[in-house]
Amino acid sequence: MKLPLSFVLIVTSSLSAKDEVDFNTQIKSLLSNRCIACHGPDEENREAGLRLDTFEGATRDLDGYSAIIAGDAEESEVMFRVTLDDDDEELMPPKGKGQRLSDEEIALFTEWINQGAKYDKHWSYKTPSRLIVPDAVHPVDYFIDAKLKNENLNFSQAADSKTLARRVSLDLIGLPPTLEELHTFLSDESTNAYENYVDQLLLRPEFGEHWARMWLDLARYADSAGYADDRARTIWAFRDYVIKAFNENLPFDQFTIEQLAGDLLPKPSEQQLIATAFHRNTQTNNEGGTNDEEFRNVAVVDRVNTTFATWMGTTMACAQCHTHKYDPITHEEYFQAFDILNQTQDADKRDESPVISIFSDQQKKQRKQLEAEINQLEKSLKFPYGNEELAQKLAAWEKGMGTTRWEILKPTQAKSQSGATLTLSDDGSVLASGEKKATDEYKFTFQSSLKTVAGLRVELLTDESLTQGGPSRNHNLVLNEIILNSIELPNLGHGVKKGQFVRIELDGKDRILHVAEVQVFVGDKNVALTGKATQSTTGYGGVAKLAIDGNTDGDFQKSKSVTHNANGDADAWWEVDLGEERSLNKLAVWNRTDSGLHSRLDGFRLQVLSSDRHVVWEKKFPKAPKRDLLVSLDGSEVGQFVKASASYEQARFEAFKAIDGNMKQDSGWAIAGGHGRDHYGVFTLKRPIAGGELTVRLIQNYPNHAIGKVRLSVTDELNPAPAIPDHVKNILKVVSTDRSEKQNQELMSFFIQHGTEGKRINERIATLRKKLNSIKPYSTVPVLKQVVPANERETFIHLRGSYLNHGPKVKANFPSALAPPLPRVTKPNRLDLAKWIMNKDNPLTARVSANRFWEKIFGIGLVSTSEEFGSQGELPSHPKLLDWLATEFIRMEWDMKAFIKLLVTSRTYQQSSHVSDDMAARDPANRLLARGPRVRLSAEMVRDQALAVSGLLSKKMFGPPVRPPQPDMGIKAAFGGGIDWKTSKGEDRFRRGIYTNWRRSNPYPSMATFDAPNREVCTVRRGTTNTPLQALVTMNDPVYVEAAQSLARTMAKSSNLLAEQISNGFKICLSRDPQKSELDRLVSLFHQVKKRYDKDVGLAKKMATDPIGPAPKDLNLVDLAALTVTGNVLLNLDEMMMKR
Amino acid sequence: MNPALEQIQLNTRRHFLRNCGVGLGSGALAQMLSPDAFGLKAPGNPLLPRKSHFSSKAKRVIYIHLTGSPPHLDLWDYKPELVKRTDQECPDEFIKGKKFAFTSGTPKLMGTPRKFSQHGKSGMWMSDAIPHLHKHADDLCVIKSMHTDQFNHAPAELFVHTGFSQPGRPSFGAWTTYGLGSENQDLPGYVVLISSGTQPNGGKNSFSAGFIPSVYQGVQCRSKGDPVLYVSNPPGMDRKLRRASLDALRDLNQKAAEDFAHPETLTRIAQYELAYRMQASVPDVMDISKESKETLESYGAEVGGASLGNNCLLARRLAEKGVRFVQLFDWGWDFHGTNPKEDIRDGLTKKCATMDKPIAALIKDLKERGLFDETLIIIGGEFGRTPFREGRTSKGSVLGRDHFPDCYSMVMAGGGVKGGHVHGESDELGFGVAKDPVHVHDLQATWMHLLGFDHEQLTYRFQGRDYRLTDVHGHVVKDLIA
Repeated sequence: MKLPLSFVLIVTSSLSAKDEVDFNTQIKSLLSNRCIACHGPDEENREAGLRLDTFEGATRDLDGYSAIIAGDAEESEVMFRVTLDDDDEELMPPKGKGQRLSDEEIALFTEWINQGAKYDKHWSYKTPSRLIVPDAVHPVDYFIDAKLKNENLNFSQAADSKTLARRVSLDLIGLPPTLEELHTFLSDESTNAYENYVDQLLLRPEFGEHWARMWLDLARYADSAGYADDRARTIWAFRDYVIKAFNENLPFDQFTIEQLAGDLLPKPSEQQLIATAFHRNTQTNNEGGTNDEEFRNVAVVDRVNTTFATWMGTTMACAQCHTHKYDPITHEEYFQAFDILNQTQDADKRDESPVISIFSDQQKKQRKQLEAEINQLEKSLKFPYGNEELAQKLAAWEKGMGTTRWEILKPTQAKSQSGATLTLSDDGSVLASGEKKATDEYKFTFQSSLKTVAGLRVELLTDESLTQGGPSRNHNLVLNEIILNSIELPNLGHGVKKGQFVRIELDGKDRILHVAEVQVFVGDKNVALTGKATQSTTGYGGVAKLAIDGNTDGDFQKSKSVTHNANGDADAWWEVDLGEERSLNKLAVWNRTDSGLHSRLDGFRLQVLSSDRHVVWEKKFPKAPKRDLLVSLDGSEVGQFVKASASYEQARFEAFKAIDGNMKQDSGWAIAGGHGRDHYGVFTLKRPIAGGELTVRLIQNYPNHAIGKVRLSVTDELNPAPAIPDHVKNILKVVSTDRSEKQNQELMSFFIQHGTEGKRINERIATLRKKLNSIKPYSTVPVLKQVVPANERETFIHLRGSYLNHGPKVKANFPSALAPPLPRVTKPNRLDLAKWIMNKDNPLTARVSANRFWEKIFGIGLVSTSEEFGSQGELPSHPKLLDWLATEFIRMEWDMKAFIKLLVTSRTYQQSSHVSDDMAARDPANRLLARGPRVRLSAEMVRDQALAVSGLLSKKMFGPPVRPPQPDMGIKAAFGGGIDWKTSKGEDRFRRGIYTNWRRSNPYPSMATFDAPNREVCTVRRGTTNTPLQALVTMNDPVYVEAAQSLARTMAKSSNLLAEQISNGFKICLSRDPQKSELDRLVSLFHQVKKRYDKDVGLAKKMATDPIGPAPKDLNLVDLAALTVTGNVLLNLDEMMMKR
Repeated sequence: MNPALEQIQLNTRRHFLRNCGVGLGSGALAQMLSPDAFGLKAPGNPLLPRKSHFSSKAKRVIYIHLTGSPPHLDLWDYKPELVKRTDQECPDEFIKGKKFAFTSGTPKLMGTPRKFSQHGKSGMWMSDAIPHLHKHADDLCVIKSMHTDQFNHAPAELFVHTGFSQPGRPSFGAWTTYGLGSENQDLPGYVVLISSGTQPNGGKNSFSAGFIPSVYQGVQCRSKGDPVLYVSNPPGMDRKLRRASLDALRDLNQKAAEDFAHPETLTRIAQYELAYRMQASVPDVMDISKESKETLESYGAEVGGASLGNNCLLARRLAEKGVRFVQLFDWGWDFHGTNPKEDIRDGLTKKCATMDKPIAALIKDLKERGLFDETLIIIGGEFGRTPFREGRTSKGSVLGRDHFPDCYSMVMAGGGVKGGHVHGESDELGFGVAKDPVHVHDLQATWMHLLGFDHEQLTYRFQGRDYRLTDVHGHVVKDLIA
């Protein structure tokens, strides 16, 4: 429904035509409503090339005539066209585009042209002017009174104290006063009793809860993400931020800046980051098949529109598709503003990223301690000097360094796979020559004198015969894998197991079985590679053959070479069929390594089965290996290396890659950059193996990177000293007192890496980190985060509003017609935008904000269209008052509480709201304010009040949203779970409405009935309807029934006399005593109802106790039931629903 | 709406007369001033019946939304050439540059496996999945040239119901009750019934009032518990006690009205009386146990059930009582072929059995009661389904189709609609509109027209802009109108 032209026209039409015609109040709306849609700023849709919104446009020469000739209405084409006959095709506005001008309007228009057709800037874009108000009078009253006098009206008498106490309490904290609060106020005899009362209310924590509500409507705050699946969204920290901001009286400019650009402030606090969730309240769409970029754009559009609606009362939405038809905002300017908001990282992602974690104060303290300790330890690793204890340990270590006893092995046999000649020297070294193939494998057999072997040293030695002196046969070598066996395999055939199938079994329900690789060795050959793999079930693409593909990498996500059975599998298994029975020497199982999921294989059984599927061998492993395990089937022992160090290693070809089980050519130890020198590596075994006869194989798979000369040694020492890198060795050569600081540090870091002390520190760090990570945030909140400069998005004009339809590229800028740009800002970001909005020279922000507070207090804004201050909005009823308030809000430095106090301490506010017959007809909307405000309570207030007066309301503040009782609908959401919820327990059932879980697609029904919006988009003003469905809520919703029951108990306990009981209940609800006729009527209701309950105590019991629970023993059930019905009536009184 | 502003609108005759050119017609607004609606001196009720811009046959709407979108090529739009080319690879020209919800690569064409035959005097082609509707061929108007902008459920559904693909705008039903009010003040003017256990894709947004007053929002009636939320008195309060308490409430409110002279108090008194009557009339209209066995059988409805059959019968009962807009949502029409229920052979036969029979019964029943001609019936989904097999399920044994926005069918009947009429054509293979395209906004404009409104004139101002169901688009399709 169109808004009525109402007030303004009534006033203007009373002016005499001889007065100076005022463009803004008299002409602008006329042009706007009848002409500007076709003859306005929008070039693309401008008819006849004529624009009537500017003087230049209107008076332009149109081939010998002009639409308007200033000073000469007679000659102005426009006057001719608006006065034609109804059926004339040239009549303006044309049929269907607006009503023809009335005689009165034509007269006004004529007069205006004759007076010179003076255009004026739209009123709200002009700087507010501030009139001087005499000291003795309250500024609000000064302006209101002036207009009343003009209309021959007067203020109403003051409202009585009780009415006023309830009114201002509802306005400031959203709740009526308790009897005690009322009593305190009424018994304060000081002259500033009212002011004291107001001050007390402003300090109450409930103040923030009440005022946050209107801000959350603007912020479109909800606890769900919107669209079809409307998943729950955790963003309540933002709601709490708003409540705190109001309670702490954060100045409005700071409040604004934090929400729009808290992240761009220097060293933003946690609260400032949380504030930016203001613009993360946009909906995200994650229905299958939707395009994230499309909905990211939708979100940015929403942010532009919400920003301008909230702070500047400007409808930007029109300019999204084309240049605004009425206001000076071009299509390009829209996207310049869009560009400012287009540079945040969020992108319609399901996980709402970016989010920040929020920790409780205690958690924060704990985290800080842990982080500090970790820091300290890490620092000690990097800069060990200064740590006396460590330095001593280093010295001791240095002394004993290199004392490991190595037994040089002299091969009894040496064989090259490629056919190279391997020549043995007396010193135990072996030199390769002759045949050269791309890849090679050297296999040595030794006889060691040691009983056990715990480590292997590999020396790569230079020799003149080699290219550039070796130790490579060419220019570099790569040792891909070292395999050490305690016994030469073919000699030990007796232990070999014969089998065709190798199988892994995992007993029990819901077990997840994954393996990275299973190797089955016949001799040294992995025959699983040519087998056929199967498994019980397959899930997540982890097919069985991935375990025989030669890739041992256990990272499920990255390598995509790990098997996976389906969820819910019982007695899962995996097996490989070798095709025929083979003599098996060894088995190796490589586990999944990522995400700590190796333990899923705990308790697995490894089996060898004969061709007729008879179990030949089996072993159970209560604990699964973290990476791999090797099992000997032939009695031989296999060395499992765990640690590697080298005197020299090429970047990305470190020594540990020679023992990582990966024989691929890129996974090995190499020495580029070190050719021409000797090197050695030390490899430590996990567990010692038997000495005696040993075989060692050196796998070299990198084409033409074979070893030239090598010598092997073994030791039985459990922790052989690591190989000392060349640079460390050089340092060690220097006498310790002569070493430089840098040398000392390098030495120390080597020590820490390889010595036990370093290990201890590293383990300690790991433990601390684990502890740190185990502190789970108590909540998270999505925030705005600027993209890094390299990822800045380009913004194009969206033709016809479609994000795919690119027009010219645009750069961030302010829509300059609305407010002056910020000096020295060429490429504004969000922080600049926020500053521009809050700039004292911005004529809109202060007016719009002042008007909003006015609207919340008086029920209707001075500009009734509080969302629209452009030409399509209404003119202010009291322009001078609005300007004064706007300038005052700035002068107060945006002190919100002070501003609210200013309004409620006016005489205007404190008038009685009684409506005289005369005024009902003359000023039904109370725009002149000859009486006090009378407005229906908001949805939250209706509910909060019922809980408050019945004594049920919880005072608990903040935290996750709560789920008070609501009826089950018994249906599901599309592609989502049930829409019914599990009712919160304890006091969470009785929290204030602001804490109720706000699900956009299924809003809390009783509040939705009272016009609470779904909050999909910014809501500047709520509707207030008056419907039978609302009556059903307050009559029958169990929440209200429970409230009536609780109220009845309070009444019953308050006195022994029925009339007093009811009177007390009445007073609790309405903050006043009932009149006699009112009390009589309630008492008679009580008796009437009681008669019925006397006859049916069962019915009475239900009324008194369902759902609140058993009645106290000393109270009579029938009385209580009748009082509950009485209470139900009290809670439904018109006066309860209204602030009056 | 601001209460004070609303008050003006309800109270100042001058306002209505002055603004008769905008929004609603002056006649309609004058009716809102009906001085004695409840035997009380109450200001008008926003749901009182109002006249539309011009006279029209359709007085009410029953909109049967088949949530998920039925495969129109297996129900209404017979494509013999597509049948011939079944299993051929889909020609590149039809899929190049297009995005489908669950299909990538080159899918295979799939003609309908169903049998089509011609029915009625009009010789309308209809599939064997909807045998009961065959008899009503001459009552139906099938649009075979529908197209929409959206290919995901929620946006597409919001688009057809609210004219916009994102949540937050008023639904067609809200616009209708805003424009026409309702004929029975003892029942909600806009009732929503949901079957097959799941809400529509857009949730309550698909029947929301958006930013227009919440009094125009769809009221969901339930099959279990209170048919309308909170319509039942609490345990321990019977109807007599409620009456007694409401009498007291009225007396006290009446006194307040005298003391404070605020006109809204009178409105509130009236709303409580209305609520009291609703407490009786809602359960009564929702109680189908009094219907004859034959009637129940013809709809396939069961007392205590929650099927589409039940809801079609309830729709008739509500229409009969003067409810302006009855919106049915039936879940389970998303025939991708991911399980046997979504197979366009047996699965579709079974699903259609729950729809075909009740809708046929509804048409017959409305005719017998003389309501058919003044009730606009709309049947359809939020888009169509592809002429090719859905990509994900193309290797299985179940036949299904993907979402398809470019060309699909919608069906209308009753209230001023041309019966036995087919409008528009799809091309040979069903990939595009061949003749007389009808965009969703055109369809909406036509609906408004059928109800007597100029869709460009029924507007509501919100945040500085005049909004309407058809956004800034839409042309009335005259050919659909009888």
